[in-house]
Amino acid sequence: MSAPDIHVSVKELRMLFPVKRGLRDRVLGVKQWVHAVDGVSLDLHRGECLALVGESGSGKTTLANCIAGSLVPVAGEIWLDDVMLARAGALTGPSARERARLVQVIFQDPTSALNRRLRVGSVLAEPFLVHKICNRAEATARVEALLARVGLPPETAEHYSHELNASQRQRVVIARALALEPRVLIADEPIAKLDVSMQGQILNLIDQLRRELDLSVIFITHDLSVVRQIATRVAVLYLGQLMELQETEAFFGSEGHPYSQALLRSTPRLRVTAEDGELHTIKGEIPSPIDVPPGCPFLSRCPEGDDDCGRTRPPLQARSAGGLVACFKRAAADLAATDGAATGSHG
Amino acid sequence: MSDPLLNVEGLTTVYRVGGREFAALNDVSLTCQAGERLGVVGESGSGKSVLALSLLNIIRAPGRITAGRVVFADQDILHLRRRELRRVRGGGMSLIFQDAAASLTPVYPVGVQLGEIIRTHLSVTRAEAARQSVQLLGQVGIPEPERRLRAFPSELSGGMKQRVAIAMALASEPSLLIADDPTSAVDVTIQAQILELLRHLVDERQLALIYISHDFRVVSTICERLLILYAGGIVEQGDAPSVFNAPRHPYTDALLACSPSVEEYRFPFATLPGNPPNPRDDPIVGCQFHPRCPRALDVCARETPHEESPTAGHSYRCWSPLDAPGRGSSAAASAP
Repeated sequence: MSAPDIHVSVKELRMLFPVKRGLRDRVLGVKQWVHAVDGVSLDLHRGECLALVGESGSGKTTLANCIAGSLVPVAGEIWLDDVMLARAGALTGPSARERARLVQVIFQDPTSALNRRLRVGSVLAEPFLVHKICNRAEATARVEALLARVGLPPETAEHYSHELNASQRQRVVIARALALEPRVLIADEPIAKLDVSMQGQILNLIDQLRRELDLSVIFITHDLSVVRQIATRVAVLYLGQLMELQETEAFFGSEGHPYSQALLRSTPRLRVTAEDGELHTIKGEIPSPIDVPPGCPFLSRCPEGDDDCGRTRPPLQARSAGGLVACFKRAAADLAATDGAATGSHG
Repeated sequence: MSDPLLNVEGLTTVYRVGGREFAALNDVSLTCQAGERLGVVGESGSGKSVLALSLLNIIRAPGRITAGRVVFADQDILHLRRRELRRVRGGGMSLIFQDAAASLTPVYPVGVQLGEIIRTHLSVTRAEAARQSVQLLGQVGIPEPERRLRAFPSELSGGMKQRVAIAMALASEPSLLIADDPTSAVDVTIQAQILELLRHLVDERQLALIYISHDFRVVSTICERLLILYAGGIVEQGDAPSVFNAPRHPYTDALLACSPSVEEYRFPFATLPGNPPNPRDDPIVGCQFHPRCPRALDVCARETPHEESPTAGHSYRCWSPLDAPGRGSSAAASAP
């Protein structure tokens, strides 16, 4: 297999937010921080769709916002090809305007992402005019092409966003994101607010655009059944840390991180469960990101964890079957398996 | 069979939209036995929330119930006096809303809010109410319930708030629990916990449960009987395995084909073309689904289909149903 063509590279990224404190803490000088993204290194390959999964509070959106340049990281670096986009405490390289032509974001709620006082045509012409790509007359033709790209008829330009249904609105949001021909598209839960019957249309569209325009896509979601359909690789985040990074097929086919498995088991199945079949749940909730425990962040909910897991943070290690996982148990199991295979071949 | 706990006949709820009347709920009939778990599946605008509100007779203007009967525990809900109705609402019948935060007031600790419900419905002392509150919070899986009684809703996570809302719904010892998509705003892990909790509580207390959701997958994990709602009307209902494995109505089939699955790769996604009927447009004559239906016949645009029930425990309203054994041809067309 040839080496992957790395498009965006995130290196040891950390993003902290100060906790609003009361008077007592301020007087005593107590400082607390929310560790939203806590040392994540991750590559986005050119033309792939990387799914970022995890519960609310796992740092998915913060990571995406750092890549989009809406947040300045506290530590670490972000590279796009050979241009540094951000380093500790500063956005570097391109101006905000140039950055918008490289990375674009699609948000969860298409209704609040669109200005309801503007016709769709004006919404879509805005990027061209702001970036002085063309004049107003020329923009009209470009808007029509954009609408066609996302499968909307040209008349849509005359409508207001509230006259469209949720799926059409999300198409308009996608069209706007594509206006500047970005190279990287970040889709933050783009179907969470849509009905099941409409989710498929948007997923098909994102996949089709990725292939046709050779976009690199970061797809944020908490629904693993969607991941299975659309992603090429899966990155699992928990408490701002990367727990597992895996090819999609391997992710659904192998014994991954205990947290990934818990997420998988919690995902509702499309079938009638046996009469008294228990749902497989994991106990507890994601802990507070303010006092992150020293060891494995998942330990408090892990069915397999023991005292050793609480001492040091498990490093992200390559698995024998491919992919990376941050778990002492999985690393030990892999080691035992390779040892076993090695002894076996000797005998 | 004994009388059902809830018997709804021909329930019709109408809203005034843009100068004309629109039936958000159209001639809905259903029954729910004590201890039964009934699932209602529908898209936004299908009338599923209006159904929940109509069962409790809390429809507000511009809506009103124009026809039908709702009989709950031998009481005619639509003709009760206000005082009797208040005993039923939140008493015999409780509702869990989609947005748990909205059913809690932010200005009182949860203990006060729980205690108030217990004392309203069960006439017990303050101390006894406090004791029951602790017990309830424990039952819905909240750790350290004594401490949590003093917590304000803002100090709880989304999952915890939903648990408190469930505790509040149970406080009056109802016999029917109506859950209106209570997990649409929480993570999958918390969703699984809440579904498991509801199933456990319903079993333990022999409650009837009406679980309303847009997600076929969620409903199918918890309910024994399913009811599919489209444009205010029931298009299909029956035992969960039967509806699930052999849907007869093309809409049910399309909805199933659209639902993403963790178990198989089924890209590109099946999609359902078109939109549900818009209240502002002219009413659709005949089957409400026919403009989007891949199996539509001429008759579908003329006459409303009757309820057909060829097998016990499974009925549908369709002029052109799918074949009975196994899954027929998929109703959903692929996207262009």
